[in-house]
Amino acid sequence: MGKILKELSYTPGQIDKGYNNRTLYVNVADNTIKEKPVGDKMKSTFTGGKGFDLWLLWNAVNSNTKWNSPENEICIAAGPLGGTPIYPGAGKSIAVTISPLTGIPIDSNVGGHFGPMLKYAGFDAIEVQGIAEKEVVIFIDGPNHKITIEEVEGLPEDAYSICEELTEKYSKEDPAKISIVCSGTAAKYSKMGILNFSYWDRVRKVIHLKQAGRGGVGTVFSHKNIKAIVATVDKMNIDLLNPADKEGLQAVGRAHSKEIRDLDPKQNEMAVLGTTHLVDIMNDYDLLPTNNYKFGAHPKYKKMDRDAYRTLFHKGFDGCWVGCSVACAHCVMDFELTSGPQKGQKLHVDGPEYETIAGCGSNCGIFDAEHVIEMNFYCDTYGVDTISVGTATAFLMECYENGLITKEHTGGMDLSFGNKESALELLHQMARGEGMGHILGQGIRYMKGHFEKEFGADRKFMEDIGMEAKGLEYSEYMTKESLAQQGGYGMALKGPQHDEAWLIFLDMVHNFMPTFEQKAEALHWFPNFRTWFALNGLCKLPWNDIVPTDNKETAEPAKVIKHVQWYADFFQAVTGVPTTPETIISTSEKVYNFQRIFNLKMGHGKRVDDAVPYRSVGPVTVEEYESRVERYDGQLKEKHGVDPAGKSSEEKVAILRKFREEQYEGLIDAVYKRRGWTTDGVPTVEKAKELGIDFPDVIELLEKNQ
Amino acid sequence: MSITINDEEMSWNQGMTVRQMLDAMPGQLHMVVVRVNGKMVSRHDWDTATVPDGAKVEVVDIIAGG
Repeated sequence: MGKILKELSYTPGQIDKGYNNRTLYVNVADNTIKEKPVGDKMKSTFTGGKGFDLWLLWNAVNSNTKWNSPENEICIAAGPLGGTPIYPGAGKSIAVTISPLTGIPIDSNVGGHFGPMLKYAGFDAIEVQGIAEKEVVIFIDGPNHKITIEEVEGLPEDAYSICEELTEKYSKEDPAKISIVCSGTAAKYSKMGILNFSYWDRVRKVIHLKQAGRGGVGTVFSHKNIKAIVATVDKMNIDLLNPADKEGLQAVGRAHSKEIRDLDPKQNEMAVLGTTHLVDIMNDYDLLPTNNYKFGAHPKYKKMDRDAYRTLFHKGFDGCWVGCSVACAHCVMDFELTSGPQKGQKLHVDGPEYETIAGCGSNCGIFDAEHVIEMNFYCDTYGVDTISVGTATAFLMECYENGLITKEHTGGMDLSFGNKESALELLHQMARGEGMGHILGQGIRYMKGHFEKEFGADRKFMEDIGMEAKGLEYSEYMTKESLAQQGGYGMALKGPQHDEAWLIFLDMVHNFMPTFEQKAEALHWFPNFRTWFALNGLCKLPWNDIVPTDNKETAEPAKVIKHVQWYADFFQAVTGVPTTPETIISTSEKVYNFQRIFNLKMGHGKRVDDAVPYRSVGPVTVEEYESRVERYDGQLKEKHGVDPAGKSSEEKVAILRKFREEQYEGLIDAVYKRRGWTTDGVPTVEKAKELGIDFPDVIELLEKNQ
Repeated sequence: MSITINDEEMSWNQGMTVRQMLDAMPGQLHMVVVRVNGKMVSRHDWDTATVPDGAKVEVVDIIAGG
């Protein structure tokens, strides 16, 4: 390791009702380290977590800032509830930056212990600015109240190795007292780089990694020449949080934990299977993306379903937060790699989640549980996003099968759907910055332009099948039969990620929202409620992946209102702020609208930016139409009054497309109206004033765009 | 002759299909997943798949995902 570039001793903090009331600023270009105060206005407006990140970033960048500009920042925060040991799912961190894929703020919610440790070390958030001359490690030494920027040489490139070496260096005696944030070698060469957040498994004595995966936050990190950010603490416990109502906090935390322990074994077995249980369900409902979202099911799905992973996952507790009873993070021991630089090695690898199974599996036409595990391992250790890698590879495969690219362009690789060796090789190329894998790593939006310009590929077809919006690759659900979810993805602030809105079952399966207005109401409540998790350092899984037995008898089962009330009680017990299910929504609405306005500041955030590829709305090709001909013919006849008899499939594709595109525009109108935005998707000045986010520069920006 | 659904006992008839079992359950159901003795029954088979005597059935409201 190299020399210390800067060292700062700081006054020990004391958490008061969830807050340290200060954040940490580090500039790796000029080696500035300083504290910034957190005032009441900042807390009441932005809450914490993603809200704090966005506010810090807003004040750091200007409208010309690009992802690789020195003033762009990586901001990481836990939130006032993050780091509460007694509550399930309360160990999350939220990372925010200007994304290399979208040019607007990206937020990514991640497990691992860094955010909580940063908080126990004395800071509500960290913002890192500048580009270091040489690779550095930022070390937040909680027990000794010291922060250093250290120049490093000779650290490994890949995430697991970096974390092992730094754990040995900084916390050898007790590896549970350290958490490391790092990326990996592919983040250098791609725009879909991730941040890995580590935590220690006391039983297996291995390091686990969780990922802030979306939008290329690891690419920014790597470009800043940051090798790692490290935090250490002596202990994390409820007394150190100084909650306003300790007994109340313990009561609600125990109630939620107990319910999960009682019901999870009877519901989805998250503690045994994680989110892999979704594979069977999505396939059954024609929602499992297959062959670049052409289809929603495949007969071979059982080769990578819940039972396949049941046999592969190592038994034992696998929570990414202290005592979390959902415990959905799983792993495979002694897994033998079949490719790449670690071929033949038997390693502990973290288990894939549903998104990775669907993205790197079915969406690429690959049905092989062990292949997905290997893709997951290499994506993590190389530092790239399994969702973007999966969706972009699926796009590439469809381009190949349609002759838009050939072996001449792929260096001889056969990129047909189902070719798992090629999928792995693309990933290894990405890590070396070579060949088609390097192009893949720039994302679908880049590939569309590149293939048109360099290979003369059909741009219109690529616009239809390239599953990106705002520049971000879609996560892994079929939306063709759910208009509400088309909007949920299309109008998601950061791009099409399911953590903002997931309405498919309500809309498509249960038909709870038959009108535009009902869909718009759902696209108000759910994104705001889900945003609240990111403001507070929480995981959303305990909210609605395990539900009370009497939930179906409540007025609105989809909201799981019993749990919403528990979250209100949780927030009030920690912060002392009177909280109800209604104030949760009004609190989130401030940050939700602020993020939309932030998009506007960066030159986006208008109606044109909420456009979606037609593949997400309906069948692009005759092959897709004919695969579900009964459904589509029926819809033409019953829903749109068009008799399909005597019409060619090409004609029917075109007619259906016209109807569906009109519906999407109608939905946008209804949602903007409900949200208090103009018809161009801009929050009104009145809305900003109502929400208390009427800062002078916000009003100036809005007035120019009303 | 009975089955258990989510730990509650329910009477059973010879040849009872999954659909008949669901129709006999009280309250409005929003479920999308039915597991009989640990195995998921596809919704496409609810009209034909039968529930054996003594079966342990889980009917799970899936409102999550994502």
